[in-house]
Amino acid sequence: MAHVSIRDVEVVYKKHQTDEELVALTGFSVEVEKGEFVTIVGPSGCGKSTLLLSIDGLLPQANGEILIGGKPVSGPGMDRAMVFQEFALMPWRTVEANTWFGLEVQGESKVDLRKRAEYYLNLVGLKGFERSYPHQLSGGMRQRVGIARALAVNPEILLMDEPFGALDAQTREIMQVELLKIWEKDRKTVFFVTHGIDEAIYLADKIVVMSARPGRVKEIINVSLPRPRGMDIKTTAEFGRMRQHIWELLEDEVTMSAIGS
Amino acid sequence: MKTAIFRSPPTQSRLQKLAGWASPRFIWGMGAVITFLATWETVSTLKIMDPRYISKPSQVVQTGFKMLSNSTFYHHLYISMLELIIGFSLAVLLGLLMGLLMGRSQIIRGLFDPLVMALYATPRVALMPLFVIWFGVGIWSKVFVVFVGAIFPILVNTMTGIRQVEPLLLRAGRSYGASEWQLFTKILLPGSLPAMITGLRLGWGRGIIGVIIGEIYVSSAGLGHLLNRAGNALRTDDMFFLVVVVAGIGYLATSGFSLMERKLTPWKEEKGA
Amino acid sequence: MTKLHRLSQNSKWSVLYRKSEQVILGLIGLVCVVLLWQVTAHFEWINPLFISSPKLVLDAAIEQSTNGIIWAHFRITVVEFFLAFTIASIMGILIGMLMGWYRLVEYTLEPFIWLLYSSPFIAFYPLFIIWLGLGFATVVMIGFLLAFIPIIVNTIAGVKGTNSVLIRAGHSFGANNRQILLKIVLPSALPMIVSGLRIGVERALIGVIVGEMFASTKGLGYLISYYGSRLHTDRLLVSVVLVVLFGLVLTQFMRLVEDRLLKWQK
Repeated sequence: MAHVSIRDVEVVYKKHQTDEELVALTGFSVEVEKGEFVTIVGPSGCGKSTLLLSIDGLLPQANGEILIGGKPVSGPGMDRAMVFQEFALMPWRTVEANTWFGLEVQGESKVDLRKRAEYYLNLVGLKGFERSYPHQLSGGMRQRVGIARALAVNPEILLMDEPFGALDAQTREIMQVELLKIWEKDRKTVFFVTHGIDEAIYLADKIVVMSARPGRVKEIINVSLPRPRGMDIKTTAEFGRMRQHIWELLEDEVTMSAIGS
Repeated sequence: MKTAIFRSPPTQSRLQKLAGWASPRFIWGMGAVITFLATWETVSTLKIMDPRYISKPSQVVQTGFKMLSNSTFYHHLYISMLELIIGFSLAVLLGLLMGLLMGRSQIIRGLFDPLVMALYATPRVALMPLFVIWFGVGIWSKVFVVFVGAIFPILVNTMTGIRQVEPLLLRAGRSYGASEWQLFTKILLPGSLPAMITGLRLGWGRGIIGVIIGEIYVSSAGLGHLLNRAGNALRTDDMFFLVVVVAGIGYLATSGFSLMERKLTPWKEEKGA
Repeated sequence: MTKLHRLSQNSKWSVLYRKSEQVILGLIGLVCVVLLWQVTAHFEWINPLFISSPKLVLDAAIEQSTNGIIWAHFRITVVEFFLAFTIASIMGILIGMLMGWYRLVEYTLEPFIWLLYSSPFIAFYPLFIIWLGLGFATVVMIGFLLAFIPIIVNTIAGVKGTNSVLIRAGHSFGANNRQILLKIVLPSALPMIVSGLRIGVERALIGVIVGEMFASTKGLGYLISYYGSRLHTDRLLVSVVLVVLFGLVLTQFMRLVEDRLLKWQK
């Protein structure tokens, strides 16, 4: 049985005071196995974030269903944790307090909180920064706190919404390598949303290419590049072939988005 | 079919732009007010509370009509407005001038800033008896109260407005060869306009309060004076009506300033719209 | 000039210098004003009745201090102030949070808040006197009403300004409504709330003084009004100075609190 089954999902937004409806996702289907690293790539506004929010249980589906381990998603839960593009760290909390936020909300004891936070911060390479405040950290470091926070609740599924989108290009590349290193230890099921084609290929076992809004699956690509992957894999012919293919898939969709259709 | 409501914390009020009269904000607000008025009327009519001390809406309206048809009311209105406008105009003149100077020049700001801050912090109500000693019981003490009340928001807002104009814009202007005067009129002034208007709005508000309190304290004419007389004679209906009039003037002014803001600074985005 | 500049740039005095710069300038300004005042009064360029003189005020201060008048009234003002401010803070923050978070609450209460904001309710002081009696309760009521509004308005703004991504993160990690309000919205709104409290402090003081002027026979406000009507400018100014000093102390205290609470800001 697939770990995560997304079948024919449709998500519709309704604007608060008017009666406007916006179809964000339609007829979206994909099956994901346990431990698979899935990247989702598509043009702006295609509903990538909406998909993640639906899997996280924060948005209801108008049609279709999302099953995790065979059971339908009905709300947020401890089996899934999200990492946000804008980091979403609470500026008034220290790094460790931010890390243990998810655990705190579940009512864990204070002693456990500190120990767990320390462990995961060490895992993401932020040992020694426990008592710092977010504003003292660089973008890359802040996102690592976000990742530590998500890992701390020990989820089965990691949902990452363009986590490196707010970082500069160089930091982004380093973080990709770091992320894979951290992931190798545990091999959780990951849904990773991104704009970047290279990033999508580099990280993934499976790539879901999306169309422009309303978002649907354009193609699912299985990536058979060997792991562990160094950065040099981006220069191989296989990598380049996939990049070209995905770009061709996206070309029309992106242009449509760019001119604001 | 389940739809995802666009969930986020309520944003700042969108005011007149959207739906307007049919908006839930208006309906609920009006509903609350009407309920309140109805309760008030009932409580007073049924004598649950002494109607002498709380009056009731119907009576206030009646008294209102009576007052509005009496010419002396307009005389007092005129006096109050006169005091307000003179005081406010003086405050605008001096406030804008000083604000601009202090905003533009480090030296002037350094000289006057401590003084301004100290004066801003002084509660002018406490000084009212002093003002009366200086200017007498006539309109000039009230004019002065308005002046003192209005000048500080205007000055401070203008000064901050000038200072917060993005230095990047000035740099861009210079690189296009603009002279100092051009920089001032084409970049600094428009850039600080929103802040200035805010200052004017705040100043006007403080001015109104100043006039009324000043007239209540001591005067022989004006809306505040009428309020005081009504208060001493416990003519509660009069008191409520007059308070409504003052609130009404305040509302008109706020709308006026909002209108001015929209017309003069159409580029300003409404936060959270 | 350049030597001093260079000195202030690279010695460890530079930080100290810049901080005390403000204070020193302020003090110099103050001393100048006082000197000017004394000279003006001495040579009677302006009638001393209008402005008194530092020396006269000082004498009056000593006199009122020794016979205890000023302290008795000061004590009353202080108590009234703290009561008015405390009640205004608690109620203001509570109602502000409710209004900021629950749209309907905001819609229903907004007209009343606005009305309170634009009405010179001080004009109702005769009614307050009837309802609450002359003195303490009325004064506290007026101080409370005046301080209440900026606190509510700022609290609402703070709550509404909460970053929606943070709230989403909260939901994502399974926080319930109460947890979100307490752990995310409240801390996020704190800067604006504290700002509102700072304004509230000023307003409460003004409200109390005004209340004492119109509706009481005790307190610094009453003294100011009393001496004012008798043209005892020197005694009047003693109370005024005390009010200003008290206000300054409060403002400084609020600034300290603000810094302490918000040390996580850059």
